[in-house]
Amino acid sequence: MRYYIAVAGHVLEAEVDGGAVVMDGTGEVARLAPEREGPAMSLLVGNRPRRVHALRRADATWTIHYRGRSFEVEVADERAWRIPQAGGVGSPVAGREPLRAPMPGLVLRVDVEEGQEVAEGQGLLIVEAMKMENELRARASGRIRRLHVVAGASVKRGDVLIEFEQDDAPQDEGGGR
Amino acid sequence: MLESVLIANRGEIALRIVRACRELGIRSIAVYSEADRSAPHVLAADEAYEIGPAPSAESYLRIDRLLEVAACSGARALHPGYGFLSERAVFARAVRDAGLVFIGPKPATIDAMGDKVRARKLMQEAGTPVIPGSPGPVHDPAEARRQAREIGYPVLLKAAAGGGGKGMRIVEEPDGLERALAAARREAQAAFADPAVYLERYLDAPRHIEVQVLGDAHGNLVHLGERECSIQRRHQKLVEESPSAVATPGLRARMGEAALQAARAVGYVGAGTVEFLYIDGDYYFLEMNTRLQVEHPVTELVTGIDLVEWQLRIAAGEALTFAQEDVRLNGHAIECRITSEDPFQGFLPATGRVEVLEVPAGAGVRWDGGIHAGFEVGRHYDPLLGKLVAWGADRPAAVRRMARALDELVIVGVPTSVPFHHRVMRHEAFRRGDLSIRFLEDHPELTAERISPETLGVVAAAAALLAEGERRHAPARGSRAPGRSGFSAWRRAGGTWGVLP
Repeated sequence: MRYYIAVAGHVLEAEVDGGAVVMDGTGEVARLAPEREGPAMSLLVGNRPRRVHALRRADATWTIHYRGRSFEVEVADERAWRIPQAGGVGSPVAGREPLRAPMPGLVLRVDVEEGQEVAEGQGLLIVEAMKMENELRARASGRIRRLHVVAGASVKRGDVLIEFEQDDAPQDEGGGR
Repeated sequence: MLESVLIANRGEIALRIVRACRELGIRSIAVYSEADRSAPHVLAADEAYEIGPAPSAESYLRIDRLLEVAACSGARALHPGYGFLSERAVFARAVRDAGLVFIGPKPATIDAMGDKVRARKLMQEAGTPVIPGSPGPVHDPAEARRQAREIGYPVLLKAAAGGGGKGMRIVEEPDGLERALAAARREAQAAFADPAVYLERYLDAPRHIEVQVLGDAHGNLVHLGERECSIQRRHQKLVEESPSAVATPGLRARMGEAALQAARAVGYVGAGTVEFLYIDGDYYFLEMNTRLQVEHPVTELVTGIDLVEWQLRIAAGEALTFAQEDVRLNGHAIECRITSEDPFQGFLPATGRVEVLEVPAGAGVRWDGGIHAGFEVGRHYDPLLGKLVAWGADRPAAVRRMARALDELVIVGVPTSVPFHHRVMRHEAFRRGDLSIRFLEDHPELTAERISPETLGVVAAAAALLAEGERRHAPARGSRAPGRSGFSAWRRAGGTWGVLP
């Protein structure tokens, strides 16, 4: 299973196979010592033990302490990750296409109005899916012709959210978060 | 020996004193605020009495409550620790008037050293070098300008009643003097109810070196060598060591003698510290602290002399059993103050629950702590959680041992100064002994937010393996979506779905 780990402003990727993970860069195999009671753990990186302490804070969320510092860490497995990712950076759509919901979810907030000029990279609206907020952003600058949703609306994957003026520069949906 | 001692303090120092009492067969009487009901110093003491709500002003600073406890517990002596009431002559007098032994110098000594202008004058008379400055408080801008011209710019404005950086201003040139004077006087008035301010020459990047003295009631007075406490932040010491990397036997003897002169001038009894600023072979009296210092353990480790034990024995009327020539410094000791402050957020104090505490052990390591696992770090007291002290045969050995001990220290639940100390112990300038009180300003990399790839990798690998473990053990819960609580971490990831290394 592939995991995505958010820690201190970074997102790291890890493939866990048979209770082991291959470290980025060095290619070393890391595994946790057989489970112990309590927060203290030993992570073996190659043959080097690393003392780590972990406290479970919520679903998929831990405080992990290593070398004097504690980090709030959030983990998504590839299924949880893939859903909001659909339609994102990996699959840019042609410019004038309307912005469609890349995932089923709930519109939390709409940050733009009809007729508004938006700049490339500007946040347009936020869709919550799988307990994650995903900000959809303008891929290019342009003008909004029509809003199809309001805050609170439930959307299915592929629903049109925003249409852009056709005579303007190409528009596209931005990446999620 | 004293039958019993009331400890008018909390935290690590209260526990330190309780331990000394236990070793000497003295009944220890602790006091605690509502917030400290289950604090380590309370659990360790023979008796404990609640003295009020969490705020210090309603508990640890209440002289009346402390004297009530003294009366009902039958305490024979009182140890004030450091901070709180330890340098308040009015408290020392009240304790004596109640018939107890105050473990510290005479109230008149505390008075003399508490007034910085008076102390300066006393030291000059005693022949102890002081920083060139105004002979007394300056009251108006014209007088200040005249004095500053004589002393030479830059000058430092200091509150006569002060300490801790309040009422302090550096003035680079004459233009800024009037405004700085007004501001310093306002600050001094607010902090110490006394607007008196005096002038000193500002020394650029001196070292802080202090001398421990110990005197009994029979006229014996010795010094126990120096401590260097140059690594400070806003006048709060962070790392202390003994001996100083710059101290030669000759310098130690001269500074020791200067400290003894200062102590003799005020008839010092008990443990005290004479602080100096040192620059280019010259040293100047800064102030005398008429109490036990936070950093006293480094002196204990290199001299083999238990300072708290001697405070108690001196208070009981015993004479010192050793003379100056018997005092020898053996090896090197370093102390790191472990505080609940985030060194990467400007040492912002943090509160929270200590979820995990693992204390270093092994040869040459000492932990003087005031916390336990489950301890709530509140906002009412200073953020010192404990002191990690390491001894080595020489300075490099002590530095290496401290680095090793820091690796073993685990405090989870609140941010701490531990990662800062990790960096200091590995820092080239620190290892060379190239220190000054501007060390943190000169080396901003010590407090810069930076996470090594190794740390990120270990944390991420542990997290992935934990998540995998949960998935395997709870398949019915299905795919694990990240919770909303950690959303902000994802936002900082950069706004794309790309995987960042």
